[in-house]
Amino acid sequence: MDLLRFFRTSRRPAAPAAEQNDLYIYRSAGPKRIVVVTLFDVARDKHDEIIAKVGKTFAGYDKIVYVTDLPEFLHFRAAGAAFEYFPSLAEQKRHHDTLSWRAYLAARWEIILAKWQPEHVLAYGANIDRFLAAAEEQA
Amino acid sequence: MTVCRYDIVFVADVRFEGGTSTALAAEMTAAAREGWSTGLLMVKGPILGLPFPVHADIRAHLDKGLTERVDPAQKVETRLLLLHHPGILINPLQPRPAIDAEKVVIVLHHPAVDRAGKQQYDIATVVKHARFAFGKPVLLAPVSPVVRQSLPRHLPQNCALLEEDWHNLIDLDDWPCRKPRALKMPVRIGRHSRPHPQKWPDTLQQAKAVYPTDARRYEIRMLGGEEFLQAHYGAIPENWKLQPFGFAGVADFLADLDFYVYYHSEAWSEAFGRAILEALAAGLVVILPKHFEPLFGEAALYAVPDDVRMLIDHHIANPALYAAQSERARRFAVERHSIARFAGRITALMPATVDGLPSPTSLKPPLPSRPVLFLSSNGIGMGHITRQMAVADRLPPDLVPVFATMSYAAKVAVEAGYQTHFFNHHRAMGADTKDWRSVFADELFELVSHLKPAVIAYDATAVFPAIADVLALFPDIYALWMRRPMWREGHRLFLDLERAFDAIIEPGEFAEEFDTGPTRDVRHRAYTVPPVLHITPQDRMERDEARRLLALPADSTVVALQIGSGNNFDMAGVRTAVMDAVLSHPDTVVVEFQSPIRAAIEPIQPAGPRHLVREAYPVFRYSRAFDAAVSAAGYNGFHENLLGAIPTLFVPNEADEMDMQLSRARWAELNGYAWIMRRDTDLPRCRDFITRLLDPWQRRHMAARCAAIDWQNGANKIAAFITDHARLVRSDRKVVD
Repeated sequence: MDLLRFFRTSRRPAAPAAEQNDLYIYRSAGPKRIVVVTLFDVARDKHDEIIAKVGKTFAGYDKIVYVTDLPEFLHFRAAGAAFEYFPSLAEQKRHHDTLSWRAYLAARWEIILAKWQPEHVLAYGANIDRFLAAAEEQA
Repeated sequence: MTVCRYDIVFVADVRFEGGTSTALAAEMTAAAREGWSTGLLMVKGPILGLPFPVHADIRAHLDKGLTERVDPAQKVETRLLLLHHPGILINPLQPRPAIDAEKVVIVLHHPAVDRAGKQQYDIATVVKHARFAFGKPVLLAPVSPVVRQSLPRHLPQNCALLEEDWHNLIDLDDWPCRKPRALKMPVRIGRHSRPHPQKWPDTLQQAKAVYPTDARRYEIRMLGGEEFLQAHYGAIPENWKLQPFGFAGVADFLADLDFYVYYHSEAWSEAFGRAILEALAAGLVVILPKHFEPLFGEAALYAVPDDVRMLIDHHIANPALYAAQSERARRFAVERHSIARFAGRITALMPATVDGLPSPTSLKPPLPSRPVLFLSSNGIGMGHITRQMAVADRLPPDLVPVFATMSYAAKVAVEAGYQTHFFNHHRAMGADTKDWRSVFADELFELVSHLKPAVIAYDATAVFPAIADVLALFPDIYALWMRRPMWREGHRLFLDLERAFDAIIEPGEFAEEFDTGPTRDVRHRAYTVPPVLHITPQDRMERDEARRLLALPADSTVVALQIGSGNNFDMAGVRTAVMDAVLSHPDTVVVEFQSPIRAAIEPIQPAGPRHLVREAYPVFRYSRAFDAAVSAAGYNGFHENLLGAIPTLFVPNEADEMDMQLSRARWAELNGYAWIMRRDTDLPRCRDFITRLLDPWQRRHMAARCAAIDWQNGANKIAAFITDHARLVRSDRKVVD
C-alpha cells in the first residue's frame, strides 16, 4: 500500500514548484514553460488551424500539450506537440457500463495538470468543466 | 443480483494435467447424465506455478455447456459442493466465494504424507480454509486406502471422514476394451504419466529392468517421456518409443498395447493411479509394484522390478492366461469404477430438494460482465495492438475488452469498437525514464482502480517498472504478458520483470528454430500457442470484392508494398527501387499502403498512374487482391503473408530495437515460403528479385507451399486462456506472511 499512498499524496493540484512535484514529467530537467490546450468537441478539420494559431502564439514556450477527444494524433506529432487523449462523449456513451467516466476523467485531468504543470490552460470547444459535467456516469 | 442454484458446484484447480482433472471431468459427465445441474468455480491453487491451460476434457465440457462457469461474485446456492484436491486449500480462497452449500465435500486426491514421510498438506489447515470459504463443516472423501491411511488418527473439528473411498470413476464409453488378438513379437509394453521425476524409476538401470531393452522381443511405448526422459536418464534405449504427454489420443495409445507396466520413483506415493485404471479399462495386462495391490487387487499383476520381464514372458507363452487377466482387468473397471456409481455416491449425500425453492435446472442469469484490459507499449509498428485485437475479437460477450496503449495507432482499436485509452511513452514526451515511472504508474493506477479488470493482458517486449509497481497493488487481478519470440539480445533485461505477471504467453513463430534470442531458454515457463493472426486467411474478402473496394484494376498484376512506418529504419531507397522494378514490367500495379502511424503528415504522392496509395486496416483482409507482396518481416505481416499464401519478398527491418526479422525472413526463404532482400546489401539487384517475384511459375509454386502449412490460430487459445482466468478464486498466495 505504500505505493498507493505515494500516488495519492504526491498529486497536489497546486504544487509549490514544478521540480518538487513528484508527478512533474520534466522533474529532472527543471522547469519548462508549458501550455495545455483542450480540444473537446472540436471537429478534426479545425485542428490544423488551431495548431497553427496556438503554435504562433506560444512560440516561446517549451511544450504545447493538446488534450483531444479524437484518436487521430498525426497532426500533433507533425507539429512537434505533445498530446493526451480523452475518449469523446460518444465513446463514453458507447462504453458506459464498464467505467464511471466522470470520476475517472476527473482524476485523469488532475494527473495531467500535475504531470505537465502548465502555465496556461486554454480551451477550444467545451472546456474541461463542461466536458466533465457531461461525462457519463456508470449505469 | 439473482441467486444461481445448482445441484452440484465443483470447486477445483482445473489446470491439473493428470488424474485429478480427468476424474473431475468424469464426474461432470456422470452428473449431466443424471440430469443434475452443475457449476464450476475455478481456483488457481499454489501447486501449479506455470501457466497451464484448463484440462482439455473439462474445457470441452464447458464448451458444450455440460457444466457452467461460476463467477466468484455470483450468489450461488447448491445442494452439494465438491471441492477437488486438498492442495487448493493450503491457503485461503480469495476472494471468498459467495456460495451457500448445504453440504461440503473435499475430495482428497493426494495423501497427507508421502511414502518418504514428508507432509504434503496439513488436514487441519485444509479444513479451516474450507470453513473460511463456505462456513460449513466438511466431509472428507479420500480417493483410496493410501490417502485414508495417510490421514491423522484424530481429525480436526468440523470434519468427518466418509466411510467409502471415493475411487476415481471412468466413463467406459471413452475406454473401449482392447480387441482380442494374438500376441506377436515384439510385444508392445506401454506406460502413461506426467513428465515428472517422481513418476519414473529413479535410475536408468531400474527403468531398464521393468522396460526391457531386447528390441526383438519388446517394444516400449512411453506417453509422457520425450525430452524430459532424455534429460532424466541421459541415454534412451533404442526400443523405447517416446511420445509427449497429452490429453488426447490416450485411448488409442492404450488400444495398441499388449502390456501396461508402471513403476515410479521410490519417493513417490501414488494416491490412486488414474492412468492405471485407464489401462485396466482397456483390458491390458497391467504389471505394478506390490504396494498397488490394495487398490487394484487381482485386476493387476504385481512384481518386484527384476521379475517383470519373466512375468511378461510367462503371459506371452500362455495366451489363455493373458486372456483371463485381460478380462479381469476390464471387469474390475466396470464393476468398481464406472461413472454409473457416481449417482449412488451423490444421492446418499445430497439433501433432498426443499419445497418452494426454484428448481436448480431453471434458467440461470448470465455471468456478470468483466473487463479485460489489453495494455500495450508504443511499438514501432502496430504489431502489439493487432495481436491484442486478434485475442479481444475472440473473447466471449461477457468479457469486455478495454485497450490502453502507448501506440499512435490507438484509433484502430477505437474504430474496431473497443473502449480505448492512450498513455504517452517517455520518448514521445522527451521525458527522463525515472520521471516517467511515477507519472505512468499513476496514470495506469487510476485506470485500473476505476476499471477493476479481471485480467490485464500486456503485449510488448519491454516491461516497464511502473507496470510492475501497479500490478503489485492489485494482486487479485490476473496479469499475463503476451510476448512474441525472436528477441534481440539487448532486450534480455526485460526478463527480470517476468515475475510481475501470473502467466507468460508466447504466441508461436514459424521461424522458431532460428530463434537464438533471450526468450528461447525460458520458453518452458511460458504457455506457448501457435502463431497468432488477427484475421484468419479464410475470413478475407474475395479477390474481386477486395479489388473493387481498393479501386484496383481487375486484370493487372498487383504487388502490395508494405515496408513499415519508416520510424526507425529508413526504407526510402527500398521503396524507390521496388517501385521502379515492379513498374518496369508491363501490366503491373503497385499498391502502397501508408501506415496509420507514419511519421510524415503529408500523404504519399503517387509516382504515376500505376502507383496506387491506399490506407486500410487490417490490410490482410484485402490481401486476396494481391498477386505478390514486398513487405517488412514483422511478426504479423510475416505470418499473414505465409498463411495467406501471398508470394512475398521480405525486406527485414534490421534496426537494433526490432525483433529478429532477418532470421525470420531467412527461415522462410530456406523453406521455400518467401524470398528475402536486405536493404543494405541487395538493393542493386532489386530488379532481379522483382523479376523472380513476378514469375507466374515461381508464384504459383510458392503459394502452393504456403497453402500446405498446417496451422491453428493461437489467438483462439489465448482467448480461451483469458476466459478461463477471468473468474478465478485464488489460493496461490499466503494471506499473512
